Amino acid sequence: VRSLIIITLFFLPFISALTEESDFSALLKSGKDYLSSWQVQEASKVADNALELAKSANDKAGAYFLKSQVEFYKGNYRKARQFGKKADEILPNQKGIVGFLDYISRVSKTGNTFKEAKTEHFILRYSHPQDSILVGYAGDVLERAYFEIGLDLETYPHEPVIVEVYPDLESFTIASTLSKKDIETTGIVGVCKFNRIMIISPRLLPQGYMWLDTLAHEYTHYLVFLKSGNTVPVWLHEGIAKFEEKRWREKKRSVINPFYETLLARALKENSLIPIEKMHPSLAKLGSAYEAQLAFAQVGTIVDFLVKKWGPSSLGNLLNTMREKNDYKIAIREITKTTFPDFYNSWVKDLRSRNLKERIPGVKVKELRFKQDGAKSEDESKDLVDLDNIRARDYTRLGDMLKARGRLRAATYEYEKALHFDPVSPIILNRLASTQIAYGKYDKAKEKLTPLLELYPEYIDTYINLGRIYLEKGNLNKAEETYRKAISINPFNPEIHTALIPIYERLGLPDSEESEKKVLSILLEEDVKIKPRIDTNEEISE
Amino acid sequence: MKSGSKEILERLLSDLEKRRKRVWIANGVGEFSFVLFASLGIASLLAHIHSNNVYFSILKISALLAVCLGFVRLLLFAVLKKEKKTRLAKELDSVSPGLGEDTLNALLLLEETESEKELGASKSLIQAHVDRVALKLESLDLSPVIPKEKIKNHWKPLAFALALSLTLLMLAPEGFRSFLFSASILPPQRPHLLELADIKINYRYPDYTGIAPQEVDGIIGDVKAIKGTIVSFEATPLRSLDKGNLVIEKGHTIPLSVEKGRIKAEFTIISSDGFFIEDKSGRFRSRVFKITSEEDKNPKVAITAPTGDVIEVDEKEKIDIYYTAQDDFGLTKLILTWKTKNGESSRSIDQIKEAPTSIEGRFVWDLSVIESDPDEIIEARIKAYDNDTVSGPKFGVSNPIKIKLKNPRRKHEDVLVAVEKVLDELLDVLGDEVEKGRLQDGYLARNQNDFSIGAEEQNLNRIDYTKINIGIMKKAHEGITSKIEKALSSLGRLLETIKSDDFSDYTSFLGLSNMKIRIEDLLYERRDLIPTLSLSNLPRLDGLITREINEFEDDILFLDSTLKGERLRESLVYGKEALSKYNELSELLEKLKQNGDEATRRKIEKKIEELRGLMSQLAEKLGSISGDVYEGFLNPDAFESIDVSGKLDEIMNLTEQGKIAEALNLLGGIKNSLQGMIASLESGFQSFSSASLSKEISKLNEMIARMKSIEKEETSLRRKTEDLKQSLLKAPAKKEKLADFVERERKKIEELKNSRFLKGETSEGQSHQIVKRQEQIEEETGELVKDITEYEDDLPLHPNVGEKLNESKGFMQGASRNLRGKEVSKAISNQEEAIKALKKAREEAEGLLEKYQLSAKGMGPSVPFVLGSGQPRQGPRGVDTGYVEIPPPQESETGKEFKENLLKAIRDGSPEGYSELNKRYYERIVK
Repeated sequence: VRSLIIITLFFLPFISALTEESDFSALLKSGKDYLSSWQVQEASKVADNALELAKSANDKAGAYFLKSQVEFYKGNYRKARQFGKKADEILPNQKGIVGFLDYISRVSKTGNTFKEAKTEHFILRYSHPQDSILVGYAGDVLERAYFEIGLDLETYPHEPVIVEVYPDLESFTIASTLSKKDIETTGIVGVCKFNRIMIISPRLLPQGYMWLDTLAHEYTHYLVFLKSGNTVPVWLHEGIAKFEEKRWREKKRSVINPFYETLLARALKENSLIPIEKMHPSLAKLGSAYEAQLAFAQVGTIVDFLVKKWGPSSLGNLLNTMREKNDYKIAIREITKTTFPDFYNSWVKDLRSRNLKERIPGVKVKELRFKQDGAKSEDESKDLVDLDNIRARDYTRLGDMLKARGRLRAATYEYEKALHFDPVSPIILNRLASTQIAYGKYDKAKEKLTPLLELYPEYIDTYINLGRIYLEKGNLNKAEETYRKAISINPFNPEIHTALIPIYERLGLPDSEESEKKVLSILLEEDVKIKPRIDTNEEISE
Repeated sequence: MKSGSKEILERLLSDLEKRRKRVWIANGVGEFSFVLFASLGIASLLAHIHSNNVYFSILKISALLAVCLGFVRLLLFAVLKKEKKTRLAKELDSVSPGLGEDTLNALLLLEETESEKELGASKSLIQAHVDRVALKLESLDLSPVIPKEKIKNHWKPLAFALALSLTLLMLAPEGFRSFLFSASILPPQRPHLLELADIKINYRYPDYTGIAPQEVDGIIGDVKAIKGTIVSFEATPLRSLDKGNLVIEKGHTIPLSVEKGRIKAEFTIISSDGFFIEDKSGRFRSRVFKITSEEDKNPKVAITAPTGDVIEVDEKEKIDIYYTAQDDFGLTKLILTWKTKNGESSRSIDQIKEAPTSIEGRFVWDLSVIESDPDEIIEARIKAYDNDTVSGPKFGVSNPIKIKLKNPRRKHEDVLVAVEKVLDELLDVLGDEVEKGRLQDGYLARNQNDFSIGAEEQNLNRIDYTKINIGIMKKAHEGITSKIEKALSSLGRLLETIKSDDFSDYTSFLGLSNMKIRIEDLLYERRDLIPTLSLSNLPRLDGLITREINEFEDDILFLDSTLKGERLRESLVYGKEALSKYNELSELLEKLKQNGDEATRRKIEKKIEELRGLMSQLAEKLGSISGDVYEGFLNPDAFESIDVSGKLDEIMNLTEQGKIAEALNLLGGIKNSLQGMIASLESGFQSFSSASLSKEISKLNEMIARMKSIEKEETSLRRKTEDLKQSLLKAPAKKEKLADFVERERKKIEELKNSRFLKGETSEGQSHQIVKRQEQIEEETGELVKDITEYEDDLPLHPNVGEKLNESKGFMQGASRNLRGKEVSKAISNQEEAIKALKKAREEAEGLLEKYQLSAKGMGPSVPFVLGSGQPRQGPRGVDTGYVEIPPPQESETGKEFKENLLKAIRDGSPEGYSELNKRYYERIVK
């Protein structure tokens, strides 16, 4: 017994140390867990606590590393880097720390150039001077989404949500951790990751994209993260986001449009729906833009089906259950009282019952095309490659050449010939309409354009051409509405703002007029080169 | 006594004396000179009176005496003359009366004072006198005491005398002048004249002249021949002469050989001179004979063609230079020399062995060997050398020809500009055709501008032709006709320009040539129709307009596609050039790393500047690439790092700082980017070319596949026929009944479809099957020939293809007949011939396919592709434009000739009666 006591006394300090070490690891783990479910404030408290408690070098390194991650999640790039460096100094060559530091330093190149604008619930960041025009429009939409989507999902973030607009493709690929190929192939232009929303500036795409819907879409993801504690699988995440993305502008949430209808109809016909399992780990990892869009159509309609059949509250209930059970199949069963396969099959059955049609014949989903700096052609023939029919392309080219030489009527003749080969091409129809507008055939032009609003709602030229028609015809309200839609796709087209200024003037809306004037002046300014902020070695008050 | 006064007095008097003496001497010189000139002049003048030695001697002595006298009297006397105090005193008196005497007294008194003699006056008085005289002399102007310098006052007569005497001296008889200035007092004794008779001169001309030796006698003895001629002088002196010399005045002396009373000597003519013969004592001398040395003249050479101020030629071109050259004795060598900024270069035209005196020739000058800057004017001349071995070869230089090497790139750019022009003009025509040309409601209006146009509004079926305003329509179409003519003329000029453009390939050329012909056909129809336009022929006009619109659309697209491809290719060329410059820069940097010398550093600076310019041009070219080509055929990622200006600056800075390794590293990065870009351009260019030619390639592939299939079938059929033959040979008894059997079986063919005969199990069945199959193959071949005729518009297939297929068809028909006529062996022979013909046709088609594929890769001479609407090739003048020979790549140097032949072939069409001949030929084969 004496021996036992002696031995126990001898090992007591070691046992105590082991216990302490184990407690500290648990502390760090809890911090990481908070971060993974985007409970950043909680994680921050844990990190501060860990920094106080850390005694050994290992602990200190771990605490600094956690603190660094927390700062990153808060969007403080500089602090994140500096804490990371401290961790690295204490414990050099730790794979996790080095990798994180490397990522931070790369993402900081843009992160340090960000300028901020705040709304009540959002912090909007941009880097390129021209991207400052997005702030006003984005702020309005996000605040509306805050209430509308928040209401649907019964979630409102306590902290301001960071929204970052990336000035180029490279910086976006770094920040999003997506590859360039992923982005171009699947057309992913926004992500909700690391407790923030990140989008590519619509300035980078020749035609722009539905960037305001994208913001709402990503915000939905944000809410789903918060509400579910990061337990929702990607397909359901995307489904809910797709279902909610237009909520800021439409009371009625409908996922199906002619484009999705065509994709779904074809997939049902060819029995080529994307399996749910294939949507992991991300829709951005799917093989093609077509597959990605079909997947969006599928998951959006699944959520639509759920809400329609089991009521508006089913969505909130599903997320709550997911948080508790961390299993979508169980959650679906609890909400719908059917197994997931049955639920899935009933969705397919519902789709089939809708008698979907291929509204856009020969629809193809093109990969994203970004504007290139440096060697680039300034002519407008780039989009001719999107015309698959060679004859349609040839006649359109002829039309373009004639139009460029002022032979508007002859150009019309050629565009119409092109239409014989590709009757619903938004490229040809918009060229035809703009030519007709040029020599005063407004009604005929409008007739050509109207169907495109439904078939190709993202095609900005349609809105601009329609805007011109309404403006010429003196229908100011419709013109304003159309140009506003154009802004939601690509606000960098100066024509939109040039048109809106007199519209607001005539409508007696001086504030809006002034705002548009400001936007226009920014767009017409020469590109200002952005200098990255110099990273100072300022001390961090711990 | 003041010593100062004494010194002043002495100094004054001494100065006075010196000045006076100087004037005396100067005057003496002047007077002596005058005497000298006068003596010489007078003597020279008097020498003209008599030309006699004694007289000359008298004159010379007189002149010498006069000169000597003058010298002594005037000059020597003046030099030796001493100043007399009394005379000076006298002179001083003339200045101031009594001064001379006072001075004289002062001098005397001083002299006595110094000699310490007893003086009759006190020293003080003497001193006072001296002081007074010195003071007076000092205060007075003593210049009147100095005599006047005559030369100053009389220089004019003196100069005149000099000039006159010199003139007279010059004009004096030659003998007198030389005698006057000789040392002898008496004139030399002149030798006695040696008279010579029977002078004979033999000339031996230099070998190179090729002139035979010549003997001349009965002459006065003067010699005249080309330099280097050996002259043999022979004569008979009229007095006895044992020994003597032939003396060349400005040269050497040659001893005479005397034989049998005749003297002989040889000398070589070196220059014009004189010679005489004299005896050894020199007492007898012949007259001086004249030597006239004739010079070998320089060759004359002239370039007769090409002519003109500046001849523009392609850098790889060969030009024919026609020349003529003459020389008096012979030409040995002709050289072409030319000057560029890099210096003078030359090339031997001809090494002539036989040294003709006249040459006319042609020299083909290959300009590819010339290194010059584009657009530099090169001056070329021909140098002709003669065969002169005496003075050395002399040369003549021709008139210059000025050559300007065309910048092939600029030429190509001109072609592209011309293509754009045609494109613009055709677009204008198309615009007019659509807007003003078509039959539509617009023509119902009174004013052309009231048209309401748009395809959706057009419904030709509904147009009431009777309501159409013919006048307005005619006017509109006349305008269109003139625009088409203009475009056609531009197209013609473009084709001419392309002929000498190395960068344009045959694809474009043929396409444009065909385009021209098609437009000409339409224009021909238009010219026929429009002047007589009436309501009745409106439907014809309607058809013409439709075809014209289709044609112009296709033409414009063809031109547009050509321009797009060319822009892509230009970028590629610039990219490759830039890469090569980067490699050079890299080598220079490596060199700098090794030796670090200043010259290399300067070269690097220069190279970087070159690169900067080139990259800027490249960026410009890339910017001109059409957007759809850029998007459709290039990889945009490859062009992200095209702006390297900053990096080049950095390389320059690093080089200046000596950080060569870093500079090389940076350069490596740029090179990699550029290589990526070039790879993208190359692949884009090939894809674009392939896409442009894909229609033609797939048609050809399809035809070749059909030919292969027919060939295979025919080969298989021949084997079956062989088997049939074998089976018949094994069963000769049945042979006799074969015809009957076949005939019978043919009637029963339908019923026997499933019988064992049709399965080929008997020789009769086999034969029938073979006949049937042969007919089918023949039919397939006929179909193929028909299709090929249809494709003629788009594919310029060699006529051999069609001919061989027709030939094959003929042999197949023969084989069928043979089989039906029991002639199995003949059938096999015909089948073999058919297979051979098929093979030939296929090989021809495969050759064409290969050319297309090369063209699609942007290599070698391509073949035309025509975006035509398949209109008939038979133009209104019976032109057959179906085929043009395409040379293989290795023959592409003869581009211009080829293109000219091509155009001619397209224009000329088939010779008269060719079609009929062809028809008969096939009929003969078939028979």
